[in-house]
Amino acid sequence: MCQWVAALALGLLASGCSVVVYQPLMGLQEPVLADLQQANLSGTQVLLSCAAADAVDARRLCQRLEPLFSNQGAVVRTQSDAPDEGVAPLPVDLRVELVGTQVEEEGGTGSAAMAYMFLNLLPLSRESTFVQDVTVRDGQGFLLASRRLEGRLIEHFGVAYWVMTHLLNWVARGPAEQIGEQASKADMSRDLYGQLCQTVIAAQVRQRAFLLSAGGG
Amino acid sequence: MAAIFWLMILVPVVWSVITDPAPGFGRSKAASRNLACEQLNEDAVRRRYPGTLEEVSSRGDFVDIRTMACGARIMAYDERPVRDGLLLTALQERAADIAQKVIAQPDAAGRTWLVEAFYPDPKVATKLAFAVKAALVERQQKVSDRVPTLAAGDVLVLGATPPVRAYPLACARYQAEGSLAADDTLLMITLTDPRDVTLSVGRCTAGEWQWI
Repeated sequence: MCQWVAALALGLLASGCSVVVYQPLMGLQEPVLADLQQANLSGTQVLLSCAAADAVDARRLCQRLEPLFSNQGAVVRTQSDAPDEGVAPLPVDLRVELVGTQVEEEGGTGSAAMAYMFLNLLPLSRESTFVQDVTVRDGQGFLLASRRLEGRLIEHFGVAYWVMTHLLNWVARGPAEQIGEQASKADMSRDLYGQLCQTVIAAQVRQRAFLLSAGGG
Repeated sequence: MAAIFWLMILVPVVWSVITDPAPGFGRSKAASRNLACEQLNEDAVRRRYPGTLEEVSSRGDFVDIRTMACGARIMAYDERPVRDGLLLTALQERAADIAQKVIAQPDAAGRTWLVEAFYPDPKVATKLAFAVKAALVERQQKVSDRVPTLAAGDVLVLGATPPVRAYPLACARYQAEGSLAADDTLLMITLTDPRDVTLSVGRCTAGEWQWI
């Protein structure tokens, strides 16, 4: 009886063991050229607008991008910020629109349910692809830059995979090569925010190039 | 019996984990990042990789097939400076874009194009100029390999002039020294800003400078 209880307890404990792996796909795997510690967007009025299937996710993305652009010298507002009564709308240099979609693919919630049902002994996995479309326009709505960033997240269930991954992390992988949920989140944030900043900087550069070609200095 | 059951489950799983392009047991993060992967639906797979999927049965197929096609990048991301890598990875598209802008100019017909690229690395500049010339030739344009020259004194003055004024000034000097024939147009390609790989193109025709 004790053995069964111990096995059940161990299984329940192990059911929380899954390994999340992130793979950058279109756009996200490219290196970032600009130094994001510099005042790249000094004095630029940026209007942010975020959209996603989940409104909370969209709001969270905008909230995270706001300090990222502000730290580079931009004056950032989000689309949801209601203008004060009787005050003329502030000028906008760049309108940044973000549309995020998450495509559920192989496995889905079925794999997670199966994994928990079998106390995480079966090697199962589920994966999803996320897409972030970013469009940058000038104050008049002229398109300056447009990019699609795509990444893939795979969640591997099974105690064996979990043990092997953590063993390799501990024995053979350096800090930059670690695999797991925390490392995946860190890598994904670095890639996504880096590429979003690079796209906005590219749009600003193009805006200046257009001004130059139009003879505006 | 149990061993066979576990083998039947484990072998396909282990195989899929090892061959998966994502980082894991079979691939490091750096190796995974240097793969060029894209998600394809069934139509795209049949069009681009004919014969890899079985034909759909006459009763229809109710499985939504999505697959990932990966290929090794010709040059890994860390093999050359970041800016050079980003520029050269899409060189053909950038050159085609420039050529398209150039021939869309109202007086483009019948001109002979001379191309010069200004880029921090002279080897990359040469490749960029060559790619633009090739893109112009593909579009039935007349291209010359001749390099217009300036006097040493002009070069000294231009070196000390801010870029915004240097290009129009250089153009005027080329005309004054007879480096450009009447039907020649010199295209100058420059990096707009060191923080990005956006390229600016200007043209010098009959001593008049214009950014395209």
